[in-house]
Amino acid sequence: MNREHDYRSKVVWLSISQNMDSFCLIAMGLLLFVGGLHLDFAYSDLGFRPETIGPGAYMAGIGFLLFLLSVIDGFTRIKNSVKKKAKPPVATLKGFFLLALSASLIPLFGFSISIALLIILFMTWVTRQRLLKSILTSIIVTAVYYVMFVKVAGIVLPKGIIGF
Amino acid sequence: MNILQAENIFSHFITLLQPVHILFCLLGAVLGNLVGVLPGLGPPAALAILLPLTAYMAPVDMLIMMAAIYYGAMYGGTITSVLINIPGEASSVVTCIDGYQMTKQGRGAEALAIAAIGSFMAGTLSIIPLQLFAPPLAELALVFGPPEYMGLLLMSFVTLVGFSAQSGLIKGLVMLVLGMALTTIGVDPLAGAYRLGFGPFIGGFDLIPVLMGLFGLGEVLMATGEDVQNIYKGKLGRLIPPRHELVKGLKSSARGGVIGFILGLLPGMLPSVTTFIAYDVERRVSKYPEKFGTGVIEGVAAPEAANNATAMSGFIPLLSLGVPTTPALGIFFAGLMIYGLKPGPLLFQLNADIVWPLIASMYLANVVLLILNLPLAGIWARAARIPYHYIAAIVLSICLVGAYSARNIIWDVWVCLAFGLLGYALRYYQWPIVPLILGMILGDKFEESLRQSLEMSGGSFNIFFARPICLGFLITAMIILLAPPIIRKFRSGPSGTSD
Repeated sequence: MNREHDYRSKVVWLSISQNMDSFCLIAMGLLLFVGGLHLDFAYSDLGFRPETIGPGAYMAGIGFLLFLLSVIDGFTRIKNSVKKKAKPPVATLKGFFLLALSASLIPLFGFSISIALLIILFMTWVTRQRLLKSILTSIIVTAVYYVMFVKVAGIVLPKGIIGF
Repeated sequence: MNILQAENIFSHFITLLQPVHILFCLLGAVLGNLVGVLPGLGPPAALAILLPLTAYMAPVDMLIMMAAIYYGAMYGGTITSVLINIPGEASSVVTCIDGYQMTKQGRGAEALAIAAIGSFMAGTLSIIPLQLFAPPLAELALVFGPPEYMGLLLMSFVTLVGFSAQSGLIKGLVMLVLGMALTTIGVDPLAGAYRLGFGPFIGGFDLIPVLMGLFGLGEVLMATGEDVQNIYKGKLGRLIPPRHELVKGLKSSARGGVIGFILGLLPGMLPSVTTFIAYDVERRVSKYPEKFGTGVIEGVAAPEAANNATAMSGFIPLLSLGVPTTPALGIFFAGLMIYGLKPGPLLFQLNADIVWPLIASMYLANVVLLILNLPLAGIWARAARIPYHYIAAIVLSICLVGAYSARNIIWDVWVCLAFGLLGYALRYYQWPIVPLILGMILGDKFEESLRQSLEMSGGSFNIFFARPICLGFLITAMIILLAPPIIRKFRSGPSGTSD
């Protein structure tokens, strides 16, 4: 009984994880549909005639279309029994983590330091390169984009507590 | 061409061939190229950034340099699209599809070369109608109203069928609608109402961070997970494509150029849209449509030619009617105003001594760009052999900076990360990405056209069938959609075998 329960739980989890994309799209479609309807009622005092499409109605329509198409795609998958996918590699997950960390540090350390740290950590931790090579690469890349974007293009990048 | 126009253009060519004018043209092309290579900085940014440089110049010199910056920036975006799969701006998205595949096959130099040659050909040939027929062409473009744009956009949506061939039509449609759904977040284009416009979502999603994330970050993270060592390891291919490939590329450039020129006349018609249409037309007329997306030369030549031709034809409404059709031309318009030149019907009469050198300089700028970029293509292509961990580091940093530079807000960096995650997820779950981009590019215009059309008609959809141009687009869309399977069935005959 317990084994059967465990098996069913695994099957359900596998189905959800393998079809997470469909669930997300269906949820997004529903969100937009409901949000659009709410907006249509909320903005009804702006004087849109009922026969034309207001901002909320358009959003609701797009949301419904997204919901419908996602459901159709989901049924197509069930019918065609899509192959099981492997888990995302660890290197990819590390890469995402470093990117998020770097973006979080921008307000504190500024763009240049954050990007330099990103390059060093990415090359050493994710792609397993030597520390010296990573540091040199980081300095060169940071210097080049600083010159191109800041000096040539005149983009003002955020400066952190160091002021650089 | 009447004798007066021939004399004008010839005499101004002579004027143009002074060393100082050639120098400004060359300088503008180089600077535009450099800025255009930077992801996130396309022609509008390049013009805006470099406009102050022209402040102390004579009007003719200023216009020559600005035109050269514009064309230079357009080609600059192609380089990153082909070599590292990051579109420099929205109009380079389609070039990524086959261009990057060519780089992975060691044919990056060929891709860049045909892009340069195709752009030169389409750009140069597009200047001829500009000088001959600018005013009547501009008047024709004004006939287009919201229903006509709707018809054109629906025809554009048909192109997504080609981008969804491998993954399936339903998936393509889901991505297209998702892209359109994402454009609803923020401010409504007509009434100014906020839709899910709380906190940072109030400004919606800018296209540049989205492109950086979907293409740049998504691709790098995918490649990192697969432990890719190099984009390409073997011997690099030649610079100039083999003769048969070159001929195919030139024919595609001609077709793409015509499409880009005609559509570029329409106010609001962005080069990004014409590139999608040109690519799809090329795929449909090809004898091997199934090879598109695997690195065919036509897949690079056609959109690049369309891109340049659209840029050229955009000058027609600008100079003849004073209507800038794209953001980049809006900055050009501002540059003209700075010098007291008022674009419009009288420009050719009152300021002929400035307009005609500008038109003549377009020919020169195209030649300069070809001479500049063709030899560099082979050098750029060597980037494919750089170890991927260096490329990844450069791409990651450039994506974040490019995303920030779009609107100078940190929020866009987070948008870039989120779309990087989405880009990876789409690749992981095997969803097509290009329809998503198409939906995001066209979403605002589609909504605007649809709602304006229904306002005009009082809510009746008959307006789309009552207007001949719109009806023509709808019929064309149906033909494009239904003709290939019907023709295939007809060719296979009643026995089911092919001829």
